[in-house]
Amino acid sequence: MYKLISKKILLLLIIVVFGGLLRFSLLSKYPVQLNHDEVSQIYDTVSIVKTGKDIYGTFFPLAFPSTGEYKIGHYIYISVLPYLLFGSSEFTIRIPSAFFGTLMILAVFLFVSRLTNNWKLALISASLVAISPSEIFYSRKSFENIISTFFVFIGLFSFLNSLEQNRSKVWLYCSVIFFALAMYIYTAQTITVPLIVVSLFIIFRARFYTRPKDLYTCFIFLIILLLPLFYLSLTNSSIRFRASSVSVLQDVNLGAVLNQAKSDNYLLSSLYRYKRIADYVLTRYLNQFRPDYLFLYGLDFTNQGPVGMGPLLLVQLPFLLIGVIYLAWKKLFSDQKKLLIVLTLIAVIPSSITFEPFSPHRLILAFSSLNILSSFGLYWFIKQVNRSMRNFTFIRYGVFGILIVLFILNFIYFVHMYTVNFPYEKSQHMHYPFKEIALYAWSKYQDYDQIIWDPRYGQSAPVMAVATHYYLAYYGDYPPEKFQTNYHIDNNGTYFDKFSIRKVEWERDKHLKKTLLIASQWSLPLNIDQSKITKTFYFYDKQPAYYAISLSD
Amino acid sequence: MKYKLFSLIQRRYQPTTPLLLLILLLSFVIRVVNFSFPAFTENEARIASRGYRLATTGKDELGRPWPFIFNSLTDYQLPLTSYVTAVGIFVFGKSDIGARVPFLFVSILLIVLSYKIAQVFSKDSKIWLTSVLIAGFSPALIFLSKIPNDSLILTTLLVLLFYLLTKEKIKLFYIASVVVLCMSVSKQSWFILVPFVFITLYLLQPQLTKSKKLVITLLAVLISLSLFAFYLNIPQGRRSLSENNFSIFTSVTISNGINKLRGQGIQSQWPALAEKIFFNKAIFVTTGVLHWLSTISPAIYFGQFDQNGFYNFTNTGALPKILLIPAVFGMVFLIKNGSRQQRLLIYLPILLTFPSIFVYPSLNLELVVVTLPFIALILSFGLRQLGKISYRVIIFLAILEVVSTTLFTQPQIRVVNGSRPIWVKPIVEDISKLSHEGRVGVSDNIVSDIIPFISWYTSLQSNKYDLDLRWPYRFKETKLKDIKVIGWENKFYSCTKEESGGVLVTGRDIEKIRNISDFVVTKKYHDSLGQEVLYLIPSGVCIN
Repeated sequence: MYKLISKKILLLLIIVVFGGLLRFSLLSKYPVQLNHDEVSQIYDTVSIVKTGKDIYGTFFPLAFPSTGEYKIGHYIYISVLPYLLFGSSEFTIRIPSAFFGTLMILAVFLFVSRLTNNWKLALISASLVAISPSEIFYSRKSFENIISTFFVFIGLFSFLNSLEQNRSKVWLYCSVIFFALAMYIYTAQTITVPLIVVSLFIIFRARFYTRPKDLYTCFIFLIILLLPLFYLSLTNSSIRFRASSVSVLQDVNLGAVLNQAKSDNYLLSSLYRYKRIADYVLTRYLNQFRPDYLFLYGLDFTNQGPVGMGPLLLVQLPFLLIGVIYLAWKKLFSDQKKLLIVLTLIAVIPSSITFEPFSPHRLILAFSSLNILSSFGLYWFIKQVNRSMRNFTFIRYGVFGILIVLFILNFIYFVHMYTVNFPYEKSQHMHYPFKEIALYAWSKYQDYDQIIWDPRYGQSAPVMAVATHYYLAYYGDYPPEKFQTNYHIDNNGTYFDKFSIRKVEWERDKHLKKTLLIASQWSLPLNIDQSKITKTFYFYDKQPAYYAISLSD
Repeated sequence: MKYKLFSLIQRRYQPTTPLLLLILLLSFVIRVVNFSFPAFTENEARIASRGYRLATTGKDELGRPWPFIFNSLTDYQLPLTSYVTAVGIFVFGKSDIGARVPFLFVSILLIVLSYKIAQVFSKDSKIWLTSVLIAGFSPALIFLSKIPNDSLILTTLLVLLFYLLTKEKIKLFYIASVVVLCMSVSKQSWFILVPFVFITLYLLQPQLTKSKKLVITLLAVLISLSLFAFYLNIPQGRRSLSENNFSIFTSVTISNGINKLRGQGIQSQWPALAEKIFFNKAIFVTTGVLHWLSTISPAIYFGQFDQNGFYNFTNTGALPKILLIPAVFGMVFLIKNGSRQQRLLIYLPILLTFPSIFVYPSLNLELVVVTLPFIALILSFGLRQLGKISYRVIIFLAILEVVSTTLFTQPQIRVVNGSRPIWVKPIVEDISKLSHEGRVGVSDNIVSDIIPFISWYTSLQSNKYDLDLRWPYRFKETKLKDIKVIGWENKFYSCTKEESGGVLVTGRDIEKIRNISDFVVTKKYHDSLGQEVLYLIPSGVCIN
């Protein structure tokens, strides 16, 4: 028994350590640069630690205006500890995700192990989560989704634990706390968690017949914990703005359809409108399960249509199908089976009510559930191979060998996509040369009276960069208290210190003196005097992104 | 005689008969309500006007007598649909009813056949009737029963073939005839028929001798191969297959993607061998397979089947949304408790849609339609697992959705403004009137192809054929009697005194005309969204 437990723990440890390595190794190198969200988060963290205010001077805000989209601030507050420990390096802002991403392997193991009482199955689930592309991808960038998903799984584990006989009520209260935390940390979980909680009580209602008091007290406890969240959601306009700006009603296609469907008959028109929205949401919901999204290109690593990377490994596809069939087939652990299916179905809801057709960052919980489902398929497959080829050891090991090779190849394919193709293809999306530009601008700080940076840039069409001032402030190690007083915005752009972030009008600006202009091809004339260009900045694919132009005379 | 008829009815009568008749009646009514919706697409208008010409002159729109291969803007068109339409027009005359009624009848026949095939899978009469009800109230099948199309005929013939193959007494002649008919509806059938026949026989006809099974399968193989051979030997046959049935292999997106990503790897110092292992032609296979699986995903069946409004109402799935619940129950039941034969219902939709692998990036909706009678059966099994109240509530909600969709068509007319231009009718009528007075030009960007609309909605028919086209592939007509279709390359000039000329032009051409003469726009035409789409200049403008 002791041997078995130690073997189990050793295997789990290996998986967690391996998963941790995949999440922590070369963390500041990949993704190749802090994107606009990350740079704003790290600088806001610095600002909060040093001044207690964000860059706009708001005292401990709940939602950070950041680059105009009002980020819920929990990730920034969570990052305070790594900042205090490791300082303001690029690595710091990614630590919370990587840390909780690693812990999630453990959380999934605990959850599946408690759900099925089958530690082998739980180990397979943990392994799949450890190597899952979506989980690795989101664990290596600063994003609160992975943290909240961790709390959902820990909450589920605590809940299942509380159902065991002779268990203390503490587990039940712990689950309530974890669920509430998940809701506080990531907005998408404010939709999923209540539904999960209701489902839990419906699925396991029989277990509560004998102790209804626990149920009521837990419910009241949860309500009390969530009261501040309700209050904030109702009263904080920034949070409301954030919610409405990502809702499905902002979808341009839906808007077009609703416009076309307008009629003179108000009642009919309204009815049709609501029906159309419901149709649209349901279609979007079902579309989240499309195999091509899940296995081919759902992570949006490339611009090459189907040649991309899905949130799950392609080799998992047959095992996911087998897993679903296995669950339908087997009468085993029927309540638990229901929970797993309900969890998957609920986890998809947030992505289907937002304006994007497929938002993988809102689907982490769903991907984890699908990983668990495919582990059922893999477990069953291994069992069948072991059983049917008991006497053919060589063939049996051959089959397992092929399986392992396929997993390894598929995983290396993901690594290739993540480390090579993703930066090449999505250079612009991650504001790739911005770090280099910011560092260059600071290196020339003394030489010029003003430095103008045009946020208009792009690989194939002009787009507006959104966090230019954050890049400048962060990479210049600019004191936040100074930034808060210096920073101002007008109709033309944003300004602090010597820096102006505004559109460059070449015909007007070419006459400026002692000025460093940083602009892209979209703002500069083709016949510009090449001698004025002091430096060219390139996208990751070596296409010119920006030019530094010295106007010194 | 009277006695014989009575005894026949008595023999055929089953307790379920009244309910079956009621469902058939309701299905008929739901199809007839708003019968003029949807308006025809250019392709449907072409089939309808071709049907009229075949029924009256025995020639198609290009003057070819009783052809086997027809023209369309996207591909060669196989003959059965055009001839079925011709029969309808022959009986009911040149009208929307004439073009639509044959498909209405085919769809009723399909519902009856659904009842028959349900008996193959279950002895439970409730399953038979539920299956018929679902087939009768499938939005996609209702929609397709009102327009000339291949999908409905192919589905009906396949279900008929299934029925014939599963009958106790196998009648080879009937089977062969249906196989031939199937293969003359759509090229899709050439791919799916052989495995369909094979699996049906081997799973559902255990009492049939192996040699008989082999003969029937070989027959299907033979017919299929002959048609492939014939098709490959006609001009543009290979091109037609490659553009429409194997488009994945001509997709530059995939091949460019492979090359680009591989190049990035090499630039980043990854070994060339690794690049070859990760980015190679196998990506075509994975893309195809996942595209196939996505084609038969629940989003297509219960979410939005066709956003362009070619195969279905734009806002519904092929089946009512609420039936998603019995779909899950049905699948679980079949996996868990279904017999070997019943499990065939799970494999059939997968099998019937496999050619989708090759048609990336388009969705092969025609094949999804083919699966609907079998999916209806899965749903029936699912509904039987539910309690009485749940059963009734689900059926009620499903019917409510279908009825509301069928009755309130106004918003949908706007949504399919471009693909089903109902507003084109008054335009082509004016073109026809104007053409009696002299030459008329009409801009080609008003709809994808205006000539079929003119031929169908007006009495104008071409009787002079300048081109001798034996195998017209994606041929677009640009002239019909005195009507000329104005392309981008055409130029306008002020008519001389001897010339008379009127034009109906879009915004694109009116800009060109503005430069050459003063003109008077006497009428503006609007589309279903109220946008100005065409301007009538009755005189003074000629085209070179």
